[in-house]
Amino acid sequence: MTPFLRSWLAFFHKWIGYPAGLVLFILFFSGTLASFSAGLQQWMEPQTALNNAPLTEKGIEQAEKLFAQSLQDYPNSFLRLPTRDDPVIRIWHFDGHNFLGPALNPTTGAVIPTRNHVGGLFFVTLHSDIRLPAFYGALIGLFAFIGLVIASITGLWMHWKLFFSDLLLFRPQAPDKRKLLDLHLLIGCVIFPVLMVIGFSGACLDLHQLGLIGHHHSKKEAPALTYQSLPPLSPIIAKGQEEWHNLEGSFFLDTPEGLHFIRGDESQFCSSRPFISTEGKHSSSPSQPCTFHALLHGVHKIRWAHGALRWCIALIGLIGATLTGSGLIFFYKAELHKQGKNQSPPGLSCRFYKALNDGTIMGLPFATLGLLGISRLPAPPFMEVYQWENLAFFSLWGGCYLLSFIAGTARSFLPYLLMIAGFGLLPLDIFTRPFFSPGSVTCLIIDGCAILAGLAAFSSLNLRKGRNA
Amino acid sequence: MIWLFLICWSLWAITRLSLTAPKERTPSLLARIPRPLALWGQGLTLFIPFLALILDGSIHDLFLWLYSGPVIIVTVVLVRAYGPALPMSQQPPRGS
Repeated sequence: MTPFLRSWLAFFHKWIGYPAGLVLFILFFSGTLASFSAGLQQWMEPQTALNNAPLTEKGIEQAEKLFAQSLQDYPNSFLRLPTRDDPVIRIWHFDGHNFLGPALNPTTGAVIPTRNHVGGLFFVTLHSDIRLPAFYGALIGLFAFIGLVIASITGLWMHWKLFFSDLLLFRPQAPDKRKLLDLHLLIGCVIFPVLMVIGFSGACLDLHQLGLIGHHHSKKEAPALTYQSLPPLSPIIAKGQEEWHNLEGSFFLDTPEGLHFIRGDESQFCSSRPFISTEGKHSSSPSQPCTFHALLHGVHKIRWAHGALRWCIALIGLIGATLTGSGLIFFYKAELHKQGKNQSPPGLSCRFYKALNDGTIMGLPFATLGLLGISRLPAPPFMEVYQWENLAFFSLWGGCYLLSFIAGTARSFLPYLLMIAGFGLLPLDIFTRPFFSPGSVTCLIIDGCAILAGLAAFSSLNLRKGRNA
Repeated sequence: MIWLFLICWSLWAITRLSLTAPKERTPSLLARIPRPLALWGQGLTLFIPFLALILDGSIHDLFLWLYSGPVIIVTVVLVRAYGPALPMSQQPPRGS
């Protein structure tokens, strides 16, 4: 490779990789959280964790009544049947960013007293559109994928000569900069095929969202007639059970063609969403081939996955976040080095990069832990709970950027905040929830993950102290 | 299946590590793996799960194999890196 080509590759890797890396870190981290959205929902609403609550006729009847009322207020409401991770009936409506509505006990039909939390689906929408209007969210996701492809190809090209010989090279005794580069290269090489699968499927879904590929349904109009009473749902559910054998996550949705019972993505790989209408019409024969869009949906969202696969997906997200995070830090260190070690104070651009890095790498986990904590505390009376949680999350996250910028290149205090939030979640959980409740294991796993985040922040502080000593 | 993938990916990473260029400290066990065995191990640990996937025909397991690979490999590398090791001077020659 000629020095000229190498310098150009490095230039593209650095300057396309950095902005893309900032977005990709958010996407990877939120993707990890999104894969456990039901668990996070249970953490926020521990009363919805039920044991042995099968779906009964009574439960469906009660849900039917509430669903009819909800349709009058919100025509885009839907009634979702229980899933293995979220064993309650949900009557949700989507306000553009949040899924809101009551949760019902599937056996008794009683409304479970919950507050209107943003829930675990907050992280799903954060991942899919970064909480922006869907069009802009999809556009940013698409650009991030293009950035990922360019950064991956240029990075692999530069590393190609040593790709096989140094594939798993990681030297923990090496200086920090070398160690960081080793980690970046190790993860970048090992995760590349998986990144391409996830990234490509995500980008295609974004293209579909932007209307550039695939078939688009016309925008749904509000039904002419409001539902005073719904047709009985039990026979349709029985028909769905007979036909699909697994109703996990299946839902009723009011479409321009009438009320449809749609098979949930949790029960099938190819999310082609077959439906049964209230008139007994079927969407298609069971042997209908999987469409490209449904296949991508299944590959990217992986709602059908459970157990070990779900954990692997979550860990892949974390590894991806480590890849982009190490790249961001490396970029900052290179810029700082370029400006000269003795320059005091460092240039404004370095402050800016440091603030962006710290606010993204530490601010986002901190805001996430903050959101979980806030969901268990009382909300101010003048605001809806979900509005308060949204405001708190983005204030905490935005505050991290701002405070980090003010602190400049001096020692950041964000690791301290992250450490406090990480270690503080378990006591908060214990004090605000009956310890032996059905969802205890899920909540304790989340507490354990928070403690790990706290330990990571603690070790980063120790590393820094060791370096300064 | 997860156990098969766990074992195969771990062995793949271990055999790969034993073939890594001697730029770093290596635990003596890895350095003692004969080179031909490591090369065979590389192939077999990819072929066996592949065969199992064809026989099983499950999409769930295909994704499990694909996604568990990076997770297990990175874990093995980090465990090796921060685990106990002999100093370079005391290590036997590679492939002996």
